[in-house]
Formats: sequence, structure tokens, C-alpha cells
Amino acid sequence: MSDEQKQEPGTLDNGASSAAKNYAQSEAEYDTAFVQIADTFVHAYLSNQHPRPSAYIEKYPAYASDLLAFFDSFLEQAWMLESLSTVAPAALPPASPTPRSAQHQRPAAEHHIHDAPGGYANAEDVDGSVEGDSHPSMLSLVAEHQALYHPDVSAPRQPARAASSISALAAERGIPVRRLAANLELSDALVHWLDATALDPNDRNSVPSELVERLSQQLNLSHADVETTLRASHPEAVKHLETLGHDHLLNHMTFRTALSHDDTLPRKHREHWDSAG
Amino acid sequence: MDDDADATDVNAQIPPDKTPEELLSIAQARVDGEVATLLALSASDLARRLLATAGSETVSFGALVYFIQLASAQASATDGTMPAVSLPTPNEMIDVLLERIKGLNEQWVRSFLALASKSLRTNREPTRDDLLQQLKLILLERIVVKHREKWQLFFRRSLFYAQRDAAHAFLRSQYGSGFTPAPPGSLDRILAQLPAETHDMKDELWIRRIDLMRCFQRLTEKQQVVIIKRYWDGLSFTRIADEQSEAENTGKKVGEDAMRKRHDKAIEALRLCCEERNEP
Repeated sequence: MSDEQKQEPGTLDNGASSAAKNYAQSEAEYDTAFVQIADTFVHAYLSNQHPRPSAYIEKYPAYASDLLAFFDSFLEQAWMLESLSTVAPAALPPASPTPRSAQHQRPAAEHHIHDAPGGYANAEDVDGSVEGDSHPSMLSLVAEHQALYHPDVSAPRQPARAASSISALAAERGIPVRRLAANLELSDALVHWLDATALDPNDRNSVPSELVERLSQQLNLSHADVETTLRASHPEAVKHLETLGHDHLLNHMTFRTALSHDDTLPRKHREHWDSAG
Repeated sequence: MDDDADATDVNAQIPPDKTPEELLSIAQARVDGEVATLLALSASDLARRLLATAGSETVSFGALVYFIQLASAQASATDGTMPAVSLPTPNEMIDVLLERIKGLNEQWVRSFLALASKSLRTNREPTRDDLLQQLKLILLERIVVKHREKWQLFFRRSLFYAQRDAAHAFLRSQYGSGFTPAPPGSLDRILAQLPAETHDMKDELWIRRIDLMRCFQRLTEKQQVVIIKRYWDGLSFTRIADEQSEAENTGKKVGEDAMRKRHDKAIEALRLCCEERNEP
């Protein structure tokens, strides 16, 4: 992108219309420029530079509306793939047969899609993907896969490892922090915060037992090992946990929002986690 | 750029002070106007325009989607109620559409494969063809089978959500019960705060997202900034307040409470907008 395309920040509409007037891009040119912006963001993301969507919106207001949809879509895909990173390859089901190319299916006839043999090339799968996105469906899917949130506690525990933080323990097990946070129903920020602080080693009552239990399950460690790790440094964490309240911490925190007494948490999720908890 | 070349983008080439409803009307009028112009052409000229993949001959994405849907409806109608318009086949036009969005789709595949190679510890990485086929099936389903009109007006945004859904469907098909659905994305978390009655739950989620994006454009610039930083950047209100204090540079510190109020007003505005849109 050239610097010329950087415009004064404005509303989405201002940006888009001024871009249209000033640059008179064709759709093809628009898409080419958009792809460059998107690739820049993706590269920064993959390089762990933690790019901020808002910075791109501000820098490229002409593309703001489409960028918001792109970021929304991309970040969800990134999360989906990260969530799979902890699935052991051996546990994976056999690969589906290579689907038949859709190149010659007749789009006007629904039954042609239904009839596509083998693999996932059928309308039910497509419909499933669509309806599976709705909140009730998504939450029911989560409920169906409780094992991911509450792994089998009867599985043999790994021996305690000398790691300095929760995220380090997770990393040793190939679990990204983001994944761990989601599984704990906490935020990434809170997991990092647990790393940066920790709990008072002399106060055995200060560690939320449910948090210990969930960390223990996720990291396949004994409760004592988790507590030892949590008690690695500072008592400030305890105060903060108490401020938040254990119930709030464990039931009301959502995946990406945290540490802000989140009164904006979607009601459906609060109800879901309340009932699940 | 042709006057009608970007009818699919509701924001393009129009004054900035329009409401979402006015933007929609303008975009709809553009597509309607372009369609009327194209329908006045001879059959051969119309086919040439519809099948053009580059250059000044190309029609807008919105018009192309309209004609794909028209051709599909004609092919399905057996009672003679559809006016006969000589058109290329839906398949031919779908292929043109795919060719024209090749760059956007390649970008998606490139990104997805890069993410997969970084995240998946398996040699069963998805292939480019797998992903593109899954996406094509979703495009066929939404544009052709269900005749979703929103593709005529919000093509790119609809495409990005289709790409996300193609990734979701692909991973579900490959990993089954080992696959955990993603937590709600930015728009979905906003949607979840709006009362259920403000949107038709029968609508597919991507349609509600597109509608919400339109309502989002009604917000003030400051409200938009708070919403974007809150839901896309994932920042706390404290952090947003700090950043806005610096950005607004009024010499007065913006408080966390002020950010909360601004956020709440934005959500309320979105709720009202969604309610208006659902009135009969």
C-alpha cells in the first residue's frame, strides 16, 4: 500500500466515500489493495507481532467495513486452528476421502449437492456449518465436547515438572495460552496475569479450588503441583482474585474479555456458564 | 471506474452523511439500475458482459449475483411463470465469479494454510483444493440454492463470512469430535448483547452479522472506535480510556466510566437500529 492510501481517520462511511472519490479504484484494484492489507495483517499475526485491528481500520478507512468483516473471520479461523493444535494426531479420525470436485455440480439443483458422494461435499455439511455458528448451536456443540473442557480426570497424571508459570507448563504440553484460557473459561490476559503475579505461598486458602481443579485437568498435573506454580511469587494476585470473586472469575469471564469486571459479557454465555458451573 | 462498477459496496461513491437505510437504498438502486441497463442489451452482448472476467466489460459483483440467481430460478421454473431471458448457465457465471474473486480466495487459502502449518501438529494439513471446494459449496448454497439477496449488496463482507464458515465446515469434517467450535467473534459478541427479539433468529448468523455491520455505520466515530477497540482489539475499558485520552488530545483525561457509557450508548444505538430494521 502506498502512503497515499492513508487517509485522515473518519467514520467508516467518510473513509469509504472519500476513497472512492479520490482514488476511483476499480473493484479489481480495490481487491488487490485489500489483499495486500490483509496479507500484511496476517504476516504480522503469524510473526507474533499482535497486530491491532483498530490500527488497520484507522490507517485504511477506505477499507474499514470490509476489514472489520475480514478480521472477524480471520481471527475466528486462527482460534479454530489453535484449538486443534492440542489434538494429538494419533487421536484424529481417519481423513475423509478426497471430496469430489464441485467444479461440475449444477448450482441450480440442490439435490446435486446432496448427492455428492464421499467426503463432506453435501448440503447437510454445508448447512451444519451455517447453523452450527448460531450461539445456541455453538454452545450445544461445546456441551457435546465436554471432554475438551473437562478432560478425563482418570487419565494418568504426568509427573510434576519444574516450570515457572502456568503458561510455561501449558507450553510444555503444546497448549497455546489462548487455548488454555478458553478451556479455563478465562481470558488470555488473565492467564498471562497469573503468570506475572501469583499466589501467597503461606495462605493455603487463597487459591480458588475450582481454578486449581480446572488447571489441574487442563495441564494434567496434580492439585499440589498447580498450587505450587500459582504460589510462585506474589500475593497481589490473591487480592485481585478476591476482588473479582471466584464465581465471577470462573463463571463470568469470557474468552477474550477479562480483568475488567465484564458487565458486557453476553447474557447467553453467562447463563450457559452459570448453569454449566 | 464505471459508475456502476462497485454497486456491491454500499459505501462506495456516495456521500458520507447517509443513514444505513439510505445507503442500502442507494446500493439497491445501483444494482437495479445496472441490471436494467444490462437487460436492455442483446443476448450476445449481455452474455459477453456477464462472462467478462477483467477489464471494463465486467459487471459489478451485485449484478453478477443477480443474474446467477435469475438463471438459477429460470432453470428451476417449469411452469412458464418466469420471464424468459437468454442468459449464460449458472455454472458458467459461477465460474466467472470464482475467477474474479480468485485473489481474495487465494489470500484466504494462503492465510489459512499458514495458520494451519503453525498450529496443527499433524501431517494432515488441509490442501488448497479442499478449502476452495468447501468454499465453493457454501457459495453455491447461499447464492444459488437459497438465493440470498444480501450477496448483491454486501458481496465482500458476505464472502469473508463464507470463508470463515468454509474453514469451520472443513475442520469439522476432518476433525469431528476433536474440533472445538470457536468462541464468538467480535460481531457475534455484540449480537449476543442485543435482545433476541431484535433479530429474526431464523436468519442465518452471517445475515445478522451483515445487518449489524450496517447498523454499526450509524454510530458516531467515537462510538465506533470504542466498539472496535473493545471487540476487535479485545481491550479493557481502562486501556481504551488511556488510548482515547491520548488520541482525543483535549487535555482532559478520558475516564474508564466515560468509555463504559460510550460503549453502552453504542450498544443501545445498535439495539434500536436492529429493532427498527425488524419492524414490518
